[in-house]
Amino acid sequence: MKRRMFLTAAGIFLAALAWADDSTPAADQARMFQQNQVLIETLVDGGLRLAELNEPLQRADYCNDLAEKFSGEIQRAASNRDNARADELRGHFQDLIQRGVTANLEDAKSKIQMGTSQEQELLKVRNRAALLLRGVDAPDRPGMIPKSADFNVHVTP
Amino acid sequence: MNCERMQRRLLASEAADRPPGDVAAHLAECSTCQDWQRRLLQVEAEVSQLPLPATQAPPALLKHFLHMPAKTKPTAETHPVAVTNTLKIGAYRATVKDRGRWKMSVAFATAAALVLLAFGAFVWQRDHRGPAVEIPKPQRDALLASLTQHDLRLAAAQNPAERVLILSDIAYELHGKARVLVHTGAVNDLEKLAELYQKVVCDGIIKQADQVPVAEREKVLVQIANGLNAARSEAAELAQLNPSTGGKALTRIASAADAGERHLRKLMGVTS
Repeated sequence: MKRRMFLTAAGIFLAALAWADDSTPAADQARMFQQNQVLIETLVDGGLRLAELNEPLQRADYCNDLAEKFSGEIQRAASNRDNARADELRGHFQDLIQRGVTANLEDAKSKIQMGTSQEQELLKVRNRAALLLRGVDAPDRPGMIPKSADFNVHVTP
Repeated sequence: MNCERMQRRLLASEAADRPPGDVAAHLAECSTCQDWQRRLLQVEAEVSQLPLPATQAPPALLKHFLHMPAKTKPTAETHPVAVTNTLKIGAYRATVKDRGRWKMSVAFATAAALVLLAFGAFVWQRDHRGPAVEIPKPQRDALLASLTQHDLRLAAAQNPAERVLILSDIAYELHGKARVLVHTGAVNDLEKLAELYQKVVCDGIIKQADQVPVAEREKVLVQIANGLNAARSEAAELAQLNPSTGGKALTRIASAADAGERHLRKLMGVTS
């Protein structure tokens, strides 16, 4: 119950923060909506999908899906030399990898048995995140994604 | 007798070529003294050209010498022979003092010039500085940021109650964006937002609310239902005010909010 109250409060806080910070003129907001419409749709659909997923490994992989969408937009922004947009999206991308993929992988790691097919699945998700990180040239901060050694298996990344 | 006195006074004078008035008057009438004055001037001129031997006076001695009290100086009246030495010492002291004053003057002049230069540079910079260049802060999409955070919360949510609350936050964000876009005339964008809002309410909130345990429904769902009620009223009002730019989309939002609220009230009614 406390956790739920905390999450509710955090949600309200985030919304208030976004509202307070969003002093952007309406015309600019309309332009940003058009620019980010695909990502916004992805996130709305992603939220609905994540609400239905109970397994951490599935959630981790779905966060990879979301991160992949951001990765494409980051590369597009970079090729258009829109560094501000690329940086903004890279921040969201890193959040998705760190708090979406990694956190769920850690959760999954504590629940699955080593040496099973689930472990291989876990490594696959982990490696996919690593590839995504390399694709957007995002710094792989220590601890951002667990290393293969953390799972007690030997795989070729 | 008079000539000897006049010659002594001439020796004691600072400049033999410019004697005091009474001595000058005597010189004008006395050819002997005129000759004597001529020789004196010649000697003084030649003495000043004599090369001085190089000395390495110890600093202490030099310091003592330079600060010698005036009363110890031999007077020309009593020691005419020492007059030349006195003149030399006086000249040396004057040279040292002048050099010191010169150095001091140069130092002060340099300092004053530097201060003036700095002040001038400051004034010039202030007057010629162009308009302050404001680096535009890159605009960030608040909706995109919020939705990302809400999705991350959903990726960590543990039960339907948490999920339905997060989904209602997403609906709130979308409605907020619609409120802004209605003033821009972006009809297509508004319709896309309305579509997303409807999807979140019908496929998210209603669906997840069904899974909230009966015992928790009242507590969890009441604030969401109230939020949907407020959204419905506001969207309907805005639709009336802006029929051409957002009437259709806002009506769709109002309808979705109404459907969601009704469903939640129904769920809560089951418990009561």
